[in-house]
Amino acid sequence: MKKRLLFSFVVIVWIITLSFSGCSSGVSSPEPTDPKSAIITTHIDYDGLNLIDIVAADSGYLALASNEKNNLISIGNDLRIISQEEFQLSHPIAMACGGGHNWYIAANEETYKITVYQDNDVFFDTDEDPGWATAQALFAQDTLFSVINGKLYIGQNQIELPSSDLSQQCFFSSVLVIKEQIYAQLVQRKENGAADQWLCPIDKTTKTVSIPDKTFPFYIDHVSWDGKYCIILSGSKIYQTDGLTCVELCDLTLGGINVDDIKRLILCQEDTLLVLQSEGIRIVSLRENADVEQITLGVYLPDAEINQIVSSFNQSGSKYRVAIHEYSSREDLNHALLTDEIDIVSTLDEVLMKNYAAKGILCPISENTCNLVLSNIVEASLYQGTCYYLPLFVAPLASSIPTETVTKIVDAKGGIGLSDILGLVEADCLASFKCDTKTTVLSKIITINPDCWINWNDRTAQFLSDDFISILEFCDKYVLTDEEVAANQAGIQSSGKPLFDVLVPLQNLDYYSFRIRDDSITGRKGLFFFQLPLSNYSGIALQPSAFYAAVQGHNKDAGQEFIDYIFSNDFWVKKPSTPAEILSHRYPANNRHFRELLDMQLHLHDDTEEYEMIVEAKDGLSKLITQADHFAVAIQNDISDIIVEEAEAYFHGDISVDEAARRIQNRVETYLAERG
Amino acid sequence: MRSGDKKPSHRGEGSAQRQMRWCPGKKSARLVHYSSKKRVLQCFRNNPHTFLFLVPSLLGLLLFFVLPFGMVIRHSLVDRPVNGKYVGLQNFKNLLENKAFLLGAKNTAILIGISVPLAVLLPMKLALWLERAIPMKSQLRTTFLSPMLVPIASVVLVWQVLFHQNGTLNAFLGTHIDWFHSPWSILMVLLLYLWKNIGYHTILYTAALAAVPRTYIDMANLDGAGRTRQFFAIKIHFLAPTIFFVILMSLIASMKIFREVWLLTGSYPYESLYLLQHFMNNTFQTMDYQKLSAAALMLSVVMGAIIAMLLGIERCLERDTENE
Repeated sequence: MKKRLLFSFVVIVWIITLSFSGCSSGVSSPEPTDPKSAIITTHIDYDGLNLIDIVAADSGYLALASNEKNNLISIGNDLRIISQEEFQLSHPIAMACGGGHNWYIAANEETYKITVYQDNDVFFDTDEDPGWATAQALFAQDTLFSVINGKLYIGQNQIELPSSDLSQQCFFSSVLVIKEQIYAQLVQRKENGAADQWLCPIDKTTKTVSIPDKTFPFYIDHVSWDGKYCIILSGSKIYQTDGLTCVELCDLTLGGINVDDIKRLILCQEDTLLVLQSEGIRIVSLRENADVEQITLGVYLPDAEINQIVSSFNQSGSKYRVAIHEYSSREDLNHALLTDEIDIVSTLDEVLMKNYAAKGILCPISENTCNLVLSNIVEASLYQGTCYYLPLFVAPLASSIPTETVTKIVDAKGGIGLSDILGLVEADCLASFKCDTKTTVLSKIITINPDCWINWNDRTAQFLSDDFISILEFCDKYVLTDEEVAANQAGIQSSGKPLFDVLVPLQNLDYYSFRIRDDSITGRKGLFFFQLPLSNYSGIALQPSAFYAAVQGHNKDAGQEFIDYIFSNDFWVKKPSTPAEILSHRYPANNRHFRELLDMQLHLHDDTEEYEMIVEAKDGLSKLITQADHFAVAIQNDISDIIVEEAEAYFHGDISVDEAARRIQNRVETYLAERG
Repeated sequence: MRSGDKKPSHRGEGSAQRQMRWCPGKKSARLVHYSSKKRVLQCFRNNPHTFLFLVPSLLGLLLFFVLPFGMVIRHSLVDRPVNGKYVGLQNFKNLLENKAFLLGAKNTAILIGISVPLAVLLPMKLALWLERAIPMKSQLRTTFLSPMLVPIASVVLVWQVLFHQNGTLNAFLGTHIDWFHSPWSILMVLLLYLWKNIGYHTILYTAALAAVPRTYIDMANLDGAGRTRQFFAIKIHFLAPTIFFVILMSLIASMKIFREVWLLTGSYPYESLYLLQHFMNNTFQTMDYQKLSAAALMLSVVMGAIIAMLLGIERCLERDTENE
């Protein structure tokens, strides 16, 4: 028995060991950096490839990798591997690119010397021993400049030192280009271990170097230039140099980079540095904080996950930086929004749904708060054309109101406010909610009013609050009963005309959510809001999110950059993309999925009258989304189902409003506790 | 025991000891049991290719039981299902701090604590009652089995009508209680559970009681033992395997009652009806495999401990009847 148990245990352990997957390749997530550092880095590894050297090529980069077989790898500008081929030469040391050729410095197995190759052909042989070879090559001004084991070569010719005084303990360490002048770094070791270095200009025509009087302040370990700027690495610090003076840009150690394992530097985009190391490539942003355009994310209750998302974004190398500004109360946040103190951006990540209410959107539709705060927001924003929060909120209500009614108000006031809608509803409920039952109105309110009563950080709910109870009472008081709705629907069907006209002008898309399907309850055809599943694999849509875009007038570019990043394929690739990964870790929706959904809708309605409308909506939506710098995510369906289910009992008169709120509170608390 | 017989061992553990027992009347059965086992082992030694015939079954066992079990263990030790990092027992710690899990565990424990003893004792009582000479005994037995024939969805519908706020029970009692949203909701579920399972358990007990040797009952009657004395002195020993089986079935059925509860109240019921299976079902739907796997492992360990304890008790009870 004991043996059997032992055997079973061993088998199980073996199976568990087998089931653990190996390391994955590709881009790893950004590592945390010191928040006080001036640089941000992102690390990219290439599936265990040992990169030896990398140079800028016409469309991206060329890299050499030494593994079981040497490989020549083409890497695109986005640092993804484009192609990989076996490298014909063995033991490469350095490479350059230019003049239509690839230049390699490699050990020649036949002669056991270092040879310079032009593509696969021998360019010239040296007498250098490949045993402890160091080399660096540069192609500029139609000439190959190389430094091999301390000796300088221009083309095929070795260049001697001009002065015999410096011949002792002197060697060339690198060649670099600054302002179209080519220099060779000459180093002289002193007895005390220190070194003097000069940047010696090279005359390509006479194939000579001249030694300046003044030494260069420090030893250049690595250098890179992009035709405009030259940056050097000395020790752990990055300097920008013009050949005479140096300006320190940053310290690589502050970005967690091991400076002893740097094989090459490449400067690209004037503010981004690629650092080639054994373990891959690191992207270093050289922008100082002051130069980075900052987006402030106003949050009501920040938590570790929001910090992590923001930190990941800040480490991505974007020239925009997101900072978090905490507000202790929703009112303070609303005030800041109204006075334009902060620019609000958000992602579609479920994490931020927790603070959705803090994003300036949404307070409960309570007469106590709405008229005071939300009307100010919408009226101020609509008139000023900056912030369109409230229309998102009132969209479900507005969509219940006849177009001509809405249009009249919009024409008169330039927008529509919650007070207008409430007023319309109270004045003529029949006209406002002809086809909506209490439950559907409540559904709309809570669907577009996510998480106002839920504190995700503490995992608590506040459905016993006056605000929520007032919503239930509002729905019960002003909305029609099922019988009245049925009577209205009969009238509609007999006339054959839908109540809600689909021809909402697209320039007013801000006001409305869009739907592209028929609503069997209301009998409306036309534009309906999207339910965008986080995953469209095999019909799994466990966490559908309906998202809406608002155009914010100020600081649109910054917001657009941020949103572009969130929606970029690069961001999407960095995050796991299988359904399990998506749904288990609340990754944001992606505009690729959104476009696919739009295409699917078009396909479904291919030969129907909705087709053109959908095309127009698609274009409008795409434009809106690309311009948007603010997104909102709807409430969890589970929570809305719980609310509606208990509210129904209240609407039927079975229980009191307090009892309904109590039951909702009880069940939602269980829901929240589950996700703790 | 006859003279010259081997003294029986009372240690009782392991088949090696059991085979040493001298069981009059069952000697041949014991010897056959021992011989067949040794024969099997010898067969494998002599014909190793015999093992090949077992490979398909073993493969199936590996693929559909052992491997998934291993995956569950793995999921419980990492922080995400894909490219997860090993986090040790952190998932279990998080689970023990999760209020929903604790609520579900508490409610499940309460349900099991009440329902299983009732599901064991009530059918036993019914079986003892049916053992007597009562009219329409066979029709009653058939009736007891009828709840098993009714589809679950129909049962749930009936229960909703019975216990709705405007349902039959409230009409009968003159009250207006929403039973499924009250602290009494667990009793409604208990009622459903008992209604479903009592009949089958009664039949099992009835069959077990029929297997009790009449000679002992007759001798007890001659000695003047009453029904209660007869039950505890004679019948319960023969009922031990059946009792153990019924306990096991009741445990399993108490877990499966989640199906009815879910149909009645959905994924997020009132807190007194929130069972452990709700927690696991919901975490499955949200693909929170870590929590799910950790909860499943904890549940399997607890259930394993309970079943091991029951097996031990069953062995003790059964040992007393082996010499019979």
